[in-house]
Amino acid sequence: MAHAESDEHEDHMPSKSSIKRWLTTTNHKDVGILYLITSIFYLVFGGVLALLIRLELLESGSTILSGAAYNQVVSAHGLIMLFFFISPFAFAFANYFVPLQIGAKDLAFPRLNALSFWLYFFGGALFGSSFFLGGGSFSGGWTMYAPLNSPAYMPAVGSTAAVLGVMLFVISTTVSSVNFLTTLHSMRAEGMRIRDLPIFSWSILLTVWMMLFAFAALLAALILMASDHIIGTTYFTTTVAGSGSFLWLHLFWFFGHPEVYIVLFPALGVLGEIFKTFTGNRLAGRKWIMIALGLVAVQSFIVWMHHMFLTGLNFQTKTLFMATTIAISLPFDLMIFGFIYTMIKGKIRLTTPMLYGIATLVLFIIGGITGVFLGAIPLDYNLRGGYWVVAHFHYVMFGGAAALVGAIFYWFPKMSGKMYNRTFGKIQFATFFVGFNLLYFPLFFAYEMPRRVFVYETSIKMYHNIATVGGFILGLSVLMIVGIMVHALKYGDDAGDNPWQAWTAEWSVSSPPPLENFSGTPSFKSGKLSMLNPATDGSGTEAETDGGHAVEEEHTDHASLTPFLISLSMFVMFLGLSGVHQNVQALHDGDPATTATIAPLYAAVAGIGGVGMLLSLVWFGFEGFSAPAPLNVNKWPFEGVEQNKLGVWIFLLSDIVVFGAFIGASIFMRFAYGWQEWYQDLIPEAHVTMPGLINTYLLLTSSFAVVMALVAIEKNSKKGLVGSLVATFALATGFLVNKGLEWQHLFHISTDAFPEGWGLGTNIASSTFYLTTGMHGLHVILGMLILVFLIYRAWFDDAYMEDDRPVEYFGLYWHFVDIVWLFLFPLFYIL
Amino acid sequence: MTTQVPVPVAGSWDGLIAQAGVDGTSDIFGQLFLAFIVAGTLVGVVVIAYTLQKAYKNRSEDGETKSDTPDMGEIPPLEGGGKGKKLFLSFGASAVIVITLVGWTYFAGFIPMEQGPSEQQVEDQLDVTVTGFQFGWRFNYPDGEESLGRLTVPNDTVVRFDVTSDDVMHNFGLPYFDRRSDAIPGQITEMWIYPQETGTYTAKCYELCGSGHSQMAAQVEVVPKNEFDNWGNGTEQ
Amino acid sequence: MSDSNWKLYTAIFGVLFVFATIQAAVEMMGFLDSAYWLAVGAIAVLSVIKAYFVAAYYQHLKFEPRSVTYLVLGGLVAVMFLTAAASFSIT
Repeated sequence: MAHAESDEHEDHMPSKSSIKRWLTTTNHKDVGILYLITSIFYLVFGGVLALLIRLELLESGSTILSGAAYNQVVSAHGLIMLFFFISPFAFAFANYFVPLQIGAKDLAFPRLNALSFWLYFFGGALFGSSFFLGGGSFSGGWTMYAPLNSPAYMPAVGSTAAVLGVMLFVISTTVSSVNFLTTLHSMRAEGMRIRDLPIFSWSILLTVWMMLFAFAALLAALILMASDHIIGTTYFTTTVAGSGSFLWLHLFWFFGHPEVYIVLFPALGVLGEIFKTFTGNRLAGRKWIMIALGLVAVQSFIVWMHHMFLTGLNFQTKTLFMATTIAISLPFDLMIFGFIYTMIKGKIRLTTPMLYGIATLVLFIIGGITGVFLGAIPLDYNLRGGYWVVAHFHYVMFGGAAALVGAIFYWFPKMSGKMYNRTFGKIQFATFFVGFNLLYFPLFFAYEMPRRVFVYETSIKMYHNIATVGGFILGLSVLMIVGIMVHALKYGDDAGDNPWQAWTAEWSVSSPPPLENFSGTPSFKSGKLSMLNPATDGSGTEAETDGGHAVEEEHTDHASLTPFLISLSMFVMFLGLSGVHQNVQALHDGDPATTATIAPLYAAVAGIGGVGMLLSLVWFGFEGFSAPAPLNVNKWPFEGVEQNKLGVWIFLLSDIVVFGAFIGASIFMRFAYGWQEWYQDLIPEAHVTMPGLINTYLLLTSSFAVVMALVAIEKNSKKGLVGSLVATFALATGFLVNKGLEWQHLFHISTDAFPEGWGLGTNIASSTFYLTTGMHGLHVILGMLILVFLIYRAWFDDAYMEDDRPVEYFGLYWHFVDIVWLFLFPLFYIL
Repeated sequence: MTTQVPVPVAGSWDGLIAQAGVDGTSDIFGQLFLAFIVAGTLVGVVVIAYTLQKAYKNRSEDGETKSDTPDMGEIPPLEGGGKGKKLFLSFGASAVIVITLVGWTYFAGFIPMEQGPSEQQVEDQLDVTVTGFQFGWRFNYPDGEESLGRLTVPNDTVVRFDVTSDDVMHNFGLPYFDRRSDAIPGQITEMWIYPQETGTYTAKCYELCGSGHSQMAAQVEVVPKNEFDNWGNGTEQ
Repeated sequence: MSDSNWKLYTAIFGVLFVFATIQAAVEMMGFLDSAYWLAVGAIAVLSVIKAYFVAAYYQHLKFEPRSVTYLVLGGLVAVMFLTAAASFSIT
C-alpha cells in the first residue's frame, strides 16, 4: 500500500544507501534506526567491558587489570549500559513507533530529533575517547560519588571528558523529552485521547515526563561537578557536615531512582504490546496498568533517599523513605498481575518476542522480590554496596532490557520488511535466557562481597566462575542477534504488513512504512483507525484535521546537516574544555610548563568548537527547513496552546528544575554550614547589595522592553519593535558589564579574611555565588544571541510584523531568566 | 541465638523487640533475611509457576491467533475483559505480604537497631572511632589508643562505632556482624555490634573509593574481655 | 494588546521596581540585624509576589490554559521538595 506515494516523497531525501542521507535525515524512522544501530554498538562496547570484569573475577586479586583500570572498566560499563545503551535502545523504538502508533507523520520537531541523536552519538564518542586522553577515563563508578569525583581525587583529563560526554547525552535527553512530550500531547490523531494511547506510547509518555525532571537534576549535578573540574569551584570537596558528599547523593539519586523507571518503562510498554499481540487479548485491567504506571512515575521522585539508608540520615527520614519505598512497589504488583492475567483465555503463540515477553516477566519478578529485601532497612544495612544489589538491579534493568531485545524480534519485520529465521530466533532466546540466569543468579549468593572489588574469599569462587561462563554465553547471544538480523536482511522472506496479526496502528501500514507513514489523515474517531482524505496522488492536498491553519508546503527540504554540525562542534568544544582544567591544576601545582604547553592547546580546541557551534546555530536559524506547520493543540490538557509554545514551556519547565537544583544546592550547602555563620564567615564585606540591585533594575527593565516589543508589533511599528529589542539587548549588556565589574572587584579584594581575593575556589559560598549567578549570566548571553537573530530578522527581513510568535516565545524565555534573578538577588545579595 | 537482652522501648512493641533481641545485630539480620528468603522464594515460585502454566496451557497449537482479536487500530474500551476482581485479589494479597514483611522488619529490626541497647541493659560498652582513608582503616579508642588496619574489641560487650572518613566516601562493613555503614568526610555515622564469640574477622570497604578499594580491609579481633582490658592498658602494641 | 494592557504592563513594571528597592532597603536599613528571620520572610514574600507578576502577566500565564500553570508549579514543587527534604535529612 501507498508505495507509489512513498517513493515520490523519498525523492526529497537522499537515497538510503548514501551517507549523506544518514547525516542529514530528520525523519523519525531514520532517526530510530540510527538510534538502534548506535545503541547496539554500545551494548557490545559495554558488554566487552563486562566480560573484562568477568575475566578479572575468574581469580581473586588483580590478574588482568590493575586496581585503577578495574575501576575505570567498572565505571564505564555502568555508564555506557545505562546512558549510552538502554535508554537510546528504547528510544530507537520510541522514535520509530510512537508517531506510527498515534497516527502522526513525524515528531513535532524533526530537526531537534536529529539533534538529539547526534548529541547522543557525539556524547558517546567523547565518552569513548576519554580512555585515550591523559590519565584514563572516569573511575568513580556510575554513581560518581563525591568527593571521589572531584579533581583532587580524579585529576585526569579523561575523567573530565567522560563526565562531559555524559553531559552531552543528558542534553540530548532533554531535547528528546521536550520533543516527545510536545508530540504526544499535540499530535495524536483525531479521536485518540491520552487514555487511548497504546500501552507502549503511554509508557513512553510517562518515561519522557520522568526524563524531563530527572535528567534536569542530573544535568545540574553534572554542571556542578564539571565546574569543580574545569573552573575550580569547591562544591564536592566541601566537607562541613559531609555536605559535599550529601549534595551529590541527593542530586544524583533524585535523578537516579527515576532513572531506573526511565530505563524500565519502555520495556514494560513493549511487554504490553507483545502480550496483547501474542495472546490475542486486550490487556487485562488495562486501565489499572496505565494508572499504576502513572503512579510509579510520580512516586519515583519521592523515594530517592532509600539509596542513602547507610549515610546516617535521621530516624524520621529513614522511616518516611522506607514507607514511600514500600508504596512504590505496590503498583508494580498490580502491573505484573495484569500482564499475567492477559494470558488467560488467550491463544498464545510462543514466538520469539513472546518468549522474551514471558522471560521478562520471570526475570522482573525475581528482580522485584529481591528488591523488597533492599527496601527493608535492617536488611539493607547488610546488603547495600554488595553483590545482592548487583544481582538485583541486573535482574530488574537488564531483565527489562530483555523485553527490548524482544522488541527487536517483534518490530524488526516492520522496520525492515523482512522476516528473520524463527528457529534462529528461538535458539537465540534460549541462549540469552540461559546465559542471563547463569550470569546473575549466582551473584545473589555472593551477597557479602562488596561491589567493584576483585578480591574475594575462595568460598564464593564457584559463583563467580559460573557467572563468568554465563557472561560469555550472554555475550554470544548478543552477537547472535546481530547475526540473525543481518541474515534476515539478506535472505529473509518478505514479512508482509502485519505478520503477527497485531492491531496497533503501526501494523496497518506497509513494512517498512512509507516516509510519511499514512496515506491520508489518520483518525480514530470512529473507535478504530480510519483514513480521512486518503491522498491519491500525493500532490499536497492534505487537509489538516482541525484548526484550519496553513496547509503545509510541499517538502522543500526535509534534510538538514545542522544537527550533525551543532553536535560535532559541541563535541569539539567539550573535548577542549575537558583539558582546560590542566590549566587550573598546573597553576595550583605551580607548574608553568604544563600550563604553557597543554592548556592553551585544549583552550584553542574549545574555542574552535565554540565558534563552530555558533556558526552552525546561525545556519540552523536561517536554513530553509520545512517543518510541519505548528498546530494549535486541541487536546486535553493543553487545549488552545500553540504547539511551539507548548514546546517552549516544557523546555522552561526543565530549566526550572535545573535552576531550582542550583538554588537548592546553594540553600542546602548554606544550611549544612550554618545559615547565618555562612554570611559571617565566608562572605567578604565588599560583597554588597548595590550591584545586585542595579542588575535587578536592568533586568526588570529589559523584561519590560520585551513586552514593549510586542506592543510595538501590535501597533504595527517596525521601528518600535526593533527599538525595543535593541533596548533589551543594551540593558542585558549593561547587566553583564555591571556583573563583570563586580566580579573583577571581588576577585581582587585583599582583606584580612580574604587576602587572596574572593575567587571561585575561595570557599563554598564563593563557589555557589559565582556558579549560580554565572549560569544565570550564561542564560542572559544565550538570550542575547537570540536577540541578535531577532533584531536582524526584524530589521532586514521585516519579520514578526505578521506573526509575533517568535518574539513572544523569546519573551517567555527572557522573563524566565528575569524571574530566576528575582530569587538570586535576595539569596546572594541580601540574605 | 545465644543470649537474649531485652531492649527497653516505650509502647506496645516491647514484646516484638524483646523477641528480636540485641545479641548482635547479626541475629536480627539473620532472622529477617531467612524470613525474606522463605517468603520470597514461595511467592516467586508460585507466581512464576502460575505464569508458565498459563502460558503453556493457553498456547496456540496451530500457530494461529484467536479468531476474534480486536480490530486494526481500535481504541480499546477502558474496562478490561472482566479480570478486574482477580487482579485486585492478587494485588491485595501481594500488598499484604509486602507491607507485613517490611513492616515487621521496621519494628523488629530497624527500631532496635537504631536505638541500640541502652546502658542500663548492657553493662559494658566501648566507643571506637573508625576513620576510613585511601586505603585503610584507622581505629581510635577512648583511652587515646590508635591502631591502623586492626580493630580489637572485647567479647560480650556492645561496641559502638563513630564512622567517618579522611578523604573520600568509604563504607565500613563487617560481614560477620552483618552491618555496614557509610564513612563520609566531615560527618559521623553511627553503628554498633554486639560480639558473642571470640575470633578474627574482616572489615571491608563497601564503597568504591579509588584504586586501592579492592584491598582496603582491616582485621577485626574479638578477644575475651579480660584480655581486652590488658590490651587497653597498653600491654599490647 | 489594547491600550489598557499597555498601562497594566507599565504599572506592573513600577511595582516590580519598587519591590526590588524595598528588598534592598530592608538590608540597608539593618532590619536583617534586628529581626533576621522576619526580614528574610518579608524579602522572600516580596520575591514571590514579583515572580507572580512576571509569570502571570509578562509571561501571560494568567491567560493560558491552567494546565500550563500546573506544569510550572509541578517543576517548582519538585525542586522545593528536593531542597527541603535534603536539608531536613541532615539535621
